[in-house]
Amino acid sequence: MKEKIAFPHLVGLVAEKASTTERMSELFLQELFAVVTQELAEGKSVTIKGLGTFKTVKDDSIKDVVFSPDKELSEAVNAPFSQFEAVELCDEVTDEMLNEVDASMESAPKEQEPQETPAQNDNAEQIEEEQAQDVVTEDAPIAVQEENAQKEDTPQALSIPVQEEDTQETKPESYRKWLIAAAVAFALIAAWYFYTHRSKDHSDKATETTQVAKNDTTTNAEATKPQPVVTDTIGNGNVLFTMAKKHYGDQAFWVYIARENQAQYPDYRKIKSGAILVIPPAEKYGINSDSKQSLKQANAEAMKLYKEVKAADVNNVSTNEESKDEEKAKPQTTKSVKKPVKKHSSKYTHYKKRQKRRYHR
Amino acid sequence: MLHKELVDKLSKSLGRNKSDINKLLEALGNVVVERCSELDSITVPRLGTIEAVKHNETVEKNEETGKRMLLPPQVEILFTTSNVLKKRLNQS
Repeated sequence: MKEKIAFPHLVGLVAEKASTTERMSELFLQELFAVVTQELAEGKSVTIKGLGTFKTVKDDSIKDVVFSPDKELSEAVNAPFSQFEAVELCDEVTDEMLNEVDASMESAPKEQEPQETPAQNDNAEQIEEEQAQDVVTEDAPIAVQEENAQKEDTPQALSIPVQEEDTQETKPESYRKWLIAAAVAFALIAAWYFYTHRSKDHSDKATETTQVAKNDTTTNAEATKPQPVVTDTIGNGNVLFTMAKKHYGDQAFWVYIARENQAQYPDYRKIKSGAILVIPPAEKYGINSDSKQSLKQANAEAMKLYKEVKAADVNNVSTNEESKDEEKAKPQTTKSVKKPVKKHSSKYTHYKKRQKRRYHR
Repeated sequence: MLHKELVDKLSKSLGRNKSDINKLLEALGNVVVERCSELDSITVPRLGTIEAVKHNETVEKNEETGKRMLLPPQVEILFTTSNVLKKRLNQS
């Protein structure tokens, strides 16, 4: 982050990317930048595909170079914010309210730092618990919380003081309650799913009813065994970034959550609030917030995903246009055969006309 | 100078195929994208520095309509010309 890359480092990076020797890369970069400076010194502009355009500008008899980045470059760099759009603020939102939000945002990291560690530990514990498939420990926090709500006299050993601290703050408590509720609901759904599948195999209805009773009493122990899946819901300020930070310790890993849920939500930019996303286990994608390489991989993956989504967008637009053309062509053939079918869309012809005009100028 | 002309010139001066030059230029573009997304700065001797700067979200007011817009965060790519090039430009 905010690293200064000197020329020798750049040579190494380019050589690695292009899988050539460093000598070749050095010669190439020296020649390239020599050509660029020469052209700029002569007052000309230089365009490099995928990078941008360097132009010389004269301002009050002082010449300077202006760089305008390529659209591809600026889009790739802004890929993490591509899901946000400019929003018009309504009249009810006052400057004071915005300042309050800013203040809370500024103070939030300070408060969160001590909070985050227990919260993360809790999350980690929960995941571990789920992975260990221990139902008794999963149910224990509920029981303890209920006891805390009713009486604080119960002498529980070590876990109580930590949870009492949590209950004093409203946000973590409500969040945790929701998490536990979600886990329980999921376990119930899983139990129902297994029950229905088993019921197909067994012909006797009587045995099925006993199984239901058993499943209910054993509190979903068997259901949680096969797939310990962690889920999270989009909305209320909970976005892919925050989810990644919460579950993996760094927001750069949001891309893996998007990848995991790509089947259900092909475009991560269009996931609406209320959508429940599956959080993949960290081992699945080799997620490690401490390792720089893992972060790099995540960024590369994000770029890849962004390009895929962008390509899918372009494909959709082109197929829509084609289908529109076909629809237009069909009635023409039925009504009058003489009329020729349009070869290009109106956009394309308009673009061509503009190009011609530019050329003549 | 357009991209094609640049590739032609480089391939002549280095005695390499155009495809090789294109590959190297693409690699350079990828490196710049990667580094700029990490908000790093790349210094090129005698040319200048390419730098990525992140702007946080802001509220902008349109004076004509009086509407306020909440703009999302943005990463801007800036170029600072080196003193050597500045001198060279202004001498000529």
